Amino acid sequence: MMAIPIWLRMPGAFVLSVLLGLAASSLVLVAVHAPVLETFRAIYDGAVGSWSALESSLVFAEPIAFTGLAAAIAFRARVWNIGGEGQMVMGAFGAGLVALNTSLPPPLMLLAVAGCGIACGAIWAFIPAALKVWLGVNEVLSSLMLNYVAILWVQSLVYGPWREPGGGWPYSAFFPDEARLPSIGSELDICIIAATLVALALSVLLRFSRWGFEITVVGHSHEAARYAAISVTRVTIAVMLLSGALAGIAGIQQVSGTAGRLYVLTPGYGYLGILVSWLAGHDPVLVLVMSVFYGILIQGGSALQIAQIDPSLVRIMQAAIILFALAGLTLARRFRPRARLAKVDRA
Amino acid sequence: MNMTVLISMLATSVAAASPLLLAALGELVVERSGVLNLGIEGIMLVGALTAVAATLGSGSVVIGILCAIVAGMLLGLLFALLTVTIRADHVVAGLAMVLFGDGLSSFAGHGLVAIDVPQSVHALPIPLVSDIPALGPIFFNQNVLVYLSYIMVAVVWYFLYRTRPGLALRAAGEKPSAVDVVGWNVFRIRYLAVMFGAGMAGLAGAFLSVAYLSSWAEGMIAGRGWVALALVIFAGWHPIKLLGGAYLFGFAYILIAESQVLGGVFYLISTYVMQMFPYLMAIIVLAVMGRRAMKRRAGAPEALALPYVREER
Repeated sequence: MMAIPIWLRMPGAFVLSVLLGLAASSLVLVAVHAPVLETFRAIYDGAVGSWSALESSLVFAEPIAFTGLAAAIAFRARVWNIGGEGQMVMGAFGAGLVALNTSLPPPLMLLAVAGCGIACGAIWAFIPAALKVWLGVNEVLSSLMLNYVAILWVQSLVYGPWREPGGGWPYSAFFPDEARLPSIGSELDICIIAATLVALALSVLLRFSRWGFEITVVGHSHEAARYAAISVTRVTIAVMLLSGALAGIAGIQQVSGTAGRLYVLTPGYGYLGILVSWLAGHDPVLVLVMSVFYGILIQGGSALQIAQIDPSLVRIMQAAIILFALAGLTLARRFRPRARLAKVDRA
Repeated sequence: MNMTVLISMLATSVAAASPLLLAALGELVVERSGVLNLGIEGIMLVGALTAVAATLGSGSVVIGILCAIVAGMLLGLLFALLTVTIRADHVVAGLAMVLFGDGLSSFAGHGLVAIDVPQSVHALPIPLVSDIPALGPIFFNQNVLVYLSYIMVAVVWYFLYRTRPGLALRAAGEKPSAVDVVGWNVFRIRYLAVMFGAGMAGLAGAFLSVAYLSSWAEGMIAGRGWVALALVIFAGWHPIKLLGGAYLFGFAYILIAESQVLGGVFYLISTYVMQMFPYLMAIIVLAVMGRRAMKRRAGAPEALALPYVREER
């Protein structure tokens, strides 16, 4: 282990983990007597084999990129926001709230949709943040419980007052055109560009701004932050608001971009964002890369469905890769020179 | 609402609370040893599916439940390997376990959705005590697994506070280096604790699938694993105090299920809003606990979610 150069260790460990995860998944396939090679072939063809396949993968990567960035910013400050899922759903609700109930001229409408979605996501993150700093409530659990509340809230709307008149499914009516995100390509929308810009901006801010420095200090030690006259309360609330806002964009993208109507969002992107962020070491640009990787896996899953193979196989594959990567990257990090082994701060 | 209806509602609440109680008891032991297992939702899913599959396969519900416990313990072994030996982040490892359990159970359980399990766990009234007015039918006309949950509360309490291994386990969660110095093996303690907790989660999942709903459905745990985690905090990491919290939540679940039947005010509230109730209640409970904990040092184990590194002792 020691002989491998440092720059190669993390990517090496990641690639190895992916390979092991795929190997473990093929064992599952063999166990249920499914054709291994054809399955992987179907995933490859469906997810990266052609430009349109790749585009579909990127569409899946869009929300994950935002929930991943949302997690990254919170986790850097060691604020455990597990509520990305709920904040995303509330973002979708906020977008629907404006799109379905107001009529505004084109440019204003889109701004209002985005603004309301972002605000709803941020407010949903503010609740656990406030509970944490003022009442000492563990944010892991409070943000998580709020996920369920948000999902039930949107369910109550799309099964109830917001259901499309005459429609049999739990969907709202379609959003008006001016409330839809501008598209690039046949399926992609501008969120892919937005995600890239946000990731780059966050990278710069985290590295070079005073604000990014404060997040790093709070993430390492609350005590050090206090000595440096950095308000842990202020930083915690700020990162949670930003985190919720970013997760909210993931929700806006799904309703205002891909689907064009409010519905009960496919569960899991919020949680996937957390794992993607961790795999990326909470580095915004790497979060983008990882989200594309996960987009490919998810699109591969839909391709399996078409090839009449059980698509939930991909969920096992995702989990297996995560488990191996968790082990692999932790070990790779452990054998790096010990510079930042700050004690975990449990406040 | 008359007395009989209330008593039967409370009795079903106790049954609904038991899986929460079993899972939370297991998690309590895990956390007292210094490990945070956020993955119990996933382990409960696998336990629930294993119980249904093994019961249908073997024709015996006892074998089904035992298989669920073993499946839970195997996942616990994996979790302990990740967090104790490899020292992966407990939060991330826990979330990965949830995804893993969710994916595995939905993949493997495809063919078992909505198949009724004919062999169920029947109510077994305990002679004499089940005749006590009110309390008898509520607590002592239940199935064996409910009784097991009462017994486990006592067992866990006795183990943690009255035995030497229990003391060592609590110390491993507070100051592992001290445990190491006296010659106890911190790693072994944490492995065993995690496997016990995961086994209990598997059992709790089995309770839901074979003893409560009598079938398997994808994602059927529906957040109960997370509620169990909140219960541990609510109880201040003390097994006896788990009882109150678990029954409160059991009652909340039954209130939701019965809300349409009860009519009146409940009829006006949409079922979706009613279903938010346990989660909101958990947050409020945590907030109330939080206020109290800020005045007085909370009962959280000092070394919770911190990996133990021998060389840094």
